[in-house]
Amino acid sequence: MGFLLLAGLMIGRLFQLQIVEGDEWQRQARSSRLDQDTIPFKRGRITSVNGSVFAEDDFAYDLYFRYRDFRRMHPAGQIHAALTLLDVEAPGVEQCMADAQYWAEQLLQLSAERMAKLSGRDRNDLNYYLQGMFDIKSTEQRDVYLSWLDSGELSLGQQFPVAAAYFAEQLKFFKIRITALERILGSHWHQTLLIKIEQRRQQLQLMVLQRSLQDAAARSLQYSSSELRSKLRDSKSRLSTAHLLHQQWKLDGRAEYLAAMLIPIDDNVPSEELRQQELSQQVGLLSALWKQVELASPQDTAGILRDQEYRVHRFRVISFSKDIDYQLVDLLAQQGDDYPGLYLQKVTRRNYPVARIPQVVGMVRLPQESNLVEYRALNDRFRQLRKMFYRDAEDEAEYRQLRHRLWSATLRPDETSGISGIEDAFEQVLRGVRGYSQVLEGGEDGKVPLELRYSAPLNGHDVVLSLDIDLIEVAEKSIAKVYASTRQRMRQYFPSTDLSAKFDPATPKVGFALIDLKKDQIPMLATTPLLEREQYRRDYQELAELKNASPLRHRALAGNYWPQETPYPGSTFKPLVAAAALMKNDSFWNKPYRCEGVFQAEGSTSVLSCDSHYGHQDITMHDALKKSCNIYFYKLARDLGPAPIYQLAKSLGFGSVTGFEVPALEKGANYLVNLETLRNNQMRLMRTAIGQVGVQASPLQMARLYGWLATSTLPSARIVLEGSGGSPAVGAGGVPVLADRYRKQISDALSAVNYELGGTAYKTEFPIKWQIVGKTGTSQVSLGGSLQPTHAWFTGYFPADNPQYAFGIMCENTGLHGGQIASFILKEFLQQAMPQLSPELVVQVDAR
Amino acid sequence: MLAKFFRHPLAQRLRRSCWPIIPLAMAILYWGIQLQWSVSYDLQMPSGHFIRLSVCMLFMVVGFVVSSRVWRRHTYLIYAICVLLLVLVMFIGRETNHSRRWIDMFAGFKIQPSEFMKLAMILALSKWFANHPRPETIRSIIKPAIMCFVPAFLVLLEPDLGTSLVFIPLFMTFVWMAGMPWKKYRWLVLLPLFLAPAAWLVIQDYQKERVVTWWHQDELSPEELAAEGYHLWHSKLAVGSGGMQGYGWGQGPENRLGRLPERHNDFVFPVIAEESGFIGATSFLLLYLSFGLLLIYYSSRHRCRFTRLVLAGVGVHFLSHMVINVGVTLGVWPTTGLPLPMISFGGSSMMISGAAIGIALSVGANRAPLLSSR
Repeated sequence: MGFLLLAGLMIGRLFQLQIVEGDEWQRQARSSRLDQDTIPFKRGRITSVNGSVFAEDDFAYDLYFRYRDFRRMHPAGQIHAALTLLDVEAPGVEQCMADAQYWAEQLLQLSAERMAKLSGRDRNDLNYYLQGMFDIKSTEQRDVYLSWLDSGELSLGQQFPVAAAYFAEQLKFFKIRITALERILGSHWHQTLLIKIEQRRQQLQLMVLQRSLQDAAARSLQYSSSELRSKLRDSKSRLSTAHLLHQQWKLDGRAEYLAAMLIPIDDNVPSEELRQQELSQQVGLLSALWKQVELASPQDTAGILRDQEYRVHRFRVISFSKDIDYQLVDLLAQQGDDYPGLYLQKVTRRNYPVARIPQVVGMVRLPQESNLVEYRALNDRFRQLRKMFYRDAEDEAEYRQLRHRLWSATLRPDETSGISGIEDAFEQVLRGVRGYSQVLEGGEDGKVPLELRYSAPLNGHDVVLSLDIDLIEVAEKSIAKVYASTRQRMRQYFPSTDLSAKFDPATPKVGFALIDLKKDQIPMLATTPLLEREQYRRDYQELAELKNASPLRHRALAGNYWPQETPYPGSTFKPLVAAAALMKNDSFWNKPYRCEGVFQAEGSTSVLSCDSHYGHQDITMHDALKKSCNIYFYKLARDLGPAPIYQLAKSLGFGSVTGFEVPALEKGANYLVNLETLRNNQMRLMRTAIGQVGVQASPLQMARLYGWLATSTLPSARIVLEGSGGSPAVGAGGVPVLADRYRKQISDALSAVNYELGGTAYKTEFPIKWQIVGKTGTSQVSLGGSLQPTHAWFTGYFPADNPQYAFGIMCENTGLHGGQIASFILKEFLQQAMPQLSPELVVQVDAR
Repeated sequence: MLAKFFRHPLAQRLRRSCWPIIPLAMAILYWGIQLQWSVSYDLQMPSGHFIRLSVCMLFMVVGFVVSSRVWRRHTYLIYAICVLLLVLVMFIGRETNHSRRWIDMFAGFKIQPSEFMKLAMILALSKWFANHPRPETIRSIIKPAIMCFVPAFLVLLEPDLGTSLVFIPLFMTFVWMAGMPWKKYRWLVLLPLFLAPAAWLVIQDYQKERVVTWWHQDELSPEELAAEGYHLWHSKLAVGSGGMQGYGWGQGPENRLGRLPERHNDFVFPVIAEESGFIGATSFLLLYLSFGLLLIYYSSRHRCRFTRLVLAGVGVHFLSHMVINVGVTLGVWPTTGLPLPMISFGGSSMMISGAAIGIALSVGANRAPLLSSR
């Protein structure tokens, strides 16, 4: 009766497992056999409008190594493992290979009696390696092997007389394979593959020993592994834990030594660069310590080392070589079984064929520890849900959503993401969707693997920039050329100017922006000194922390300035004041103000001066712009009041971001003092009117101002033509209209700057046909209260009668004024670039 | 010729005995052959199994040919030899997987004394209870209890918890069959239940780990499923995924991909469940149950107490192995290593199964059935 009940219980349980829960178990069984693999996507390209590629992904293959498979399948690994199990001090795997024949002969001398002395687990493991080495695979041979284990009379070699020959054959085969592989890997791999494998093995062994020690400590102190690890992270509690263990285990030596050995593995990952000698030494020390602990407390160490070896050898996949040669890819793809432990991994690499303006293009990086927190949390939850036997509708929906996110959206440990520039700002556009394949191990019939699902990866979208790499190159060359020739030119045109200790021609710090007014695009943004792509990649963190003169700055965008170096626009701001005045009352055009070289505002003790020591005498707006008279603009601002100037500046984008797609590059630029301050502080108002103190701007922002002066439309500050993203565009709404009459008046005055005697850029000698409308500027720079060499500006547009391009040029800390250097840069640039920019304006160099 | 064969004393003996168990035993043995083929590395019949099968048949024949009287006369001698072997195994036994269970014999042949002890125990207890009046008190079963628990303790020392546990239902069955009144017998049933928690203090760490894993079998983490819960998890995967009809012989993925551990031995039942499904697994259980119950049924038809007890003991031997082995693979009990007689790989188990059937046939023929149709 009892047995009937028990049999009923068994059948009931069978019914529950196979019929009631059958579908779930089938799902679990299938899911445990599913081998899922991601297929990388290609990140979108970043290209210029004329097809130059700033950034693109290429597929590459990396060579990876998993020691577990090498240990199981390669003669050297098998010998090493077998010797270790037999408690023989095993040499490195490279030496095992060199002496393989000798060691195989020794192993063939093994008797069943010797095998019987091993513990059950060790003996089972050794059986595995011996059967692999000596081809004991068929059922009959295994039966003979089991009989041999029982008999204890013959040696292994006597029992299997053909084993030695088989092993010799295998050895020869693998030696040839290694040599072939080393030859393809390159000359520097000659006879080093096994040495490198041995290094990796030792690194893993170090990890195994460290983790085992921690696990033994956790067991001894009755903590969970995670509890112990969190304790060990803190140096004080680590030391107290070590003291406690030192007492419990009654170890020799000092507790501090134990504490050092217990540092959590995450904080103490063995470095690949660790020198071989140090590595061997560390493994030796840890092995000795582990043996002490094993002797002192066998119950704390039982089974731990083997478990850790299992985990580390199985799950640690080591990168061996990146971007391997196609010949090797082909070899491993076709004959992978001949190279146990070595695997190919298809990866994508971000290449930057055009190495210019890395600040704007940006770069990608593998996720940092902090980025992976989300991935791990989601993955844990996903695994939890996957394991659930009965998922209700809510759980099922969450499971599917998580699966989708993990497979397609979430950043994975092996996937890069943009961290700066366009790469960062357009991450969502550039980033594609991973593909994946799902293979059922053994297939439905348990025999042949079956591909269940395949989803091709979706590559990211391209981002096309309006930048023209040729123009950028021309601008950079022009800057270098002008700086190199400055001394000679200064002697020729400006003999009285003192260049000593002010001017460094070798390191021009220049920002240059050009706006195409017809297309409302930015074809050129140049900056010097040039930042090499490799330096940008290598030193990014270091450079990002540099506050002073960091090459990460793009000077045309002027962001990330250290406050003392903030670029005031100087006199290039005056046309805005003039426009504000004309828009309020056009009588200001003809209203003269007297300039006597100095000016003291009412109620102020400060004396303001003009560039002209003797003063410009009675001067109107036309000449004040042409000669850049400061006192005219002081008095104009005083009469005009702060509101018109402030409101016009504000509506033209001063004091706010321009909407450039990479806002980080503009950080800190484009400052405008508030209206209240201007109202309460006349001195501040007057200084703001000449582009000092109250306003800061980048060359791009100034080019936009001059674009407005030229067309009465504020140009956008965006470089991305295709692809959406980046910072939100700044709306052009609310931009006041500048009447054609005023535009003409200002344009005439600014033309006179370049083409009339006495104009501040007259000596630049621009060809008349270019009709350059421009304004020079000199902005003061103060650092820690002391004046530094001034910045030189030249901004404007051309040609005057049909404006096509607006520009802004700023030369940092030259100590010169805009007409001495910045305007020459424009001239040099246009001489080279005009055929491309506007062929109808091309003239002979000396056509003036 | 045929008439002459039927007149042969052995044929006469077979006719008188519980011969219907033979086709059932053959069916189970055939199922075992099929399974060993299915679990073999290259889907070929392992020659070793045929050898073990032959030995099983030989012992079956020997057990049958030797008369019931001889078995009864030498019962205590057999018991004493087996106890001696159990003592010897602790000294000269081969250590495998942290336990000493086997004694090496000649030419690679080895024996597992605990398996022999099971049969010796059946015979010894049968003789003792047959020779003594109906046990009325607990005191009256102290001697057979010692006879049972001394070997059980020796087996536990090997250590082999699974085998030592088999002695308990065996002893309980004998006491019940010997006619102990329920009022007394119930204490025997309750005592192990009360003592079970105390066993926690004496069992080894790995055994505790198995119990904890079994208790929390539905809450194991992926890491635990890959380590201490590996056997049970893959066993349940194999059983559960078999569904109603199974994958077919030699086609169970858990079996073919080698993910099911010990599938030729202690975890052979999940292969049946995976490859022949609920229908096949239930049929197998019913077949095995019929075999055991038939022996118990025949035991109830005999006047001779010795015969009754031997037949019931053999039946309980097979059924208790089935219940423990199958229960372990289904997660009903904690994992313990116990073969499924006539199916699993073990040589000693196969030998003793054959002998037990042979002895049952021999002993079962020594008197005409009480309720014979004749």
